[in-house]
Amino acid sequence: MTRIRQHKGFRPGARRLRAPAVLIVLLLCLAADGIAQVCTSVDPSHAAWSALLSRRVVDGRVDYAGFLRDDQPALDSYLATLSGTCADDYSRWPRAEKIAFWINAYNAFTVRLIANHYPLRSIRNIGWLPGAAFRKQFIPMQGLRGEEMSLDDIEHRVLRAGFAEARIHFALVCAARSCPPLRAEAYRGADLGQQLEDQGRRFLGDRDKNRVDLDAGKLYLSKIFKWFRPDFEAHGPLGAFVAPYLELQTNDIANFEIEFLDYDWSLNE
Amino acid sequence: MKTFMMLFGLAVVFAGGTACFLAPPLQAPPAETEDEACVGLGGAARRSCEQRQP
Repeated sequence: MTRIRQHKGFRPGARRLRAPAVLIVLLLCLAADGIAQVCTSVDPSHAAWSALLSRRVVDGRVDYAGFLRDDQPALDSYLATLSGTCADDYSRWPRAEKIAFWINAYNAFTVRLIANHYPLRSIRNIGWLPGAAFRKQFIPMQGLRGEEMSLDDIEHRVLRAGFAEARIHFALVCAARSCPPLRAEAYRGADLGQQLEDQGRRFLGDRDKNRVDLDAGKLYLSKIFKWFRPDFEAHGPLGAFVAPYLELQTNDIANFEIEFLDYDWSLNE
Repeated sequence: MKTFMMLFGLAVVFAGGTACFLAPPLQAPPAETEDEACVGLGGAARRSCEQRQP
C-alpha cells in the first residue's frame, strides 16, 4: 500500500507542509503591506493637539497635572502621528505647513518631557548637566531624519538652519515662565503668519518679559533676543524688528539702549 | 499536477504581494523648489528627497 502511494507521487508530509507554506506567504504579504502603510497622515489642522491645548492651557500656563491625569493617551497618540510622518508626504507640504509641524512637535514633545518628570520646578532640573533636557534625544523621527532628535535639534538644526524665520522664537515654548506663552491652539500652516504675529504681540506686550522706558530711552528685552540676536537682525537692527510688536515706530526707539532681562526658568504651570 | 498548481498559486500570490510593496506611490504635485521640498529633512530621507527633485 505504501509502495503504491509513493508510486503515484504521494509524499508523506506534503499535506502537512502545504498549509504552513500558504500561511507564511500570506504573512509575508501582510507584512509587506504593513511596511508600506507605516507612514502616518498628519492632519494639517493639528486638531488633536488643539483639543489638548484648549483644555490644558490658560493664559500661557500649562496644566501638566491634568495632562498626566487625563490626557496621556491622547497626547501619545498625537506624538505618534508626528513621529510616523514620512519624507514623501512631508516634502509635498507647503513651507508654512512644515514650520507649523516642527513648532507643534517641539511644544508637544516638551509637554511630554515635563509630564515624564512631573512634578518638578524647572525643565533645567532634568538631567545632571545644565540644559541636558534640551539635548536629550527622545523624539523619534525616523521617517524625516532617520534618528531620534532632541529639542535642540528641532530648534537649531531644523527650524533655525532651514527656515530663516525669526518669529519661531515667539512660538517655541521651553516650559519656562520667561518663554513666550504656550498658545491654546496648534499652529497651522494656513494661519501661521497671523499666529506668529499674534504671538509676537503677546510676548512683547507682556511687561514681565519685555518693556520700554520711553523717558529713559531704554528697551528691556527678553534674553531670547540676546541668545538669538542674529536671527532677529537678519534684515536690520533689533530695535526695528521689535518696534511693530511694541506698537512703536522704528524711529521712536532707534537710539534706545537695550538691556536684557533675567530669565525665569521656573515651570510655566 | 496538484503540486504544480499549488506552487504556481504561491508564486502568483508572492509576486502580487511584492508588486504591491514595490509599486511607487501615486504622483503628487511637484513642490515649489528643491529647497522648499527637502528643508527640514535629514540623513537618508534628505538624500532621497534631493535625488527626486528635478
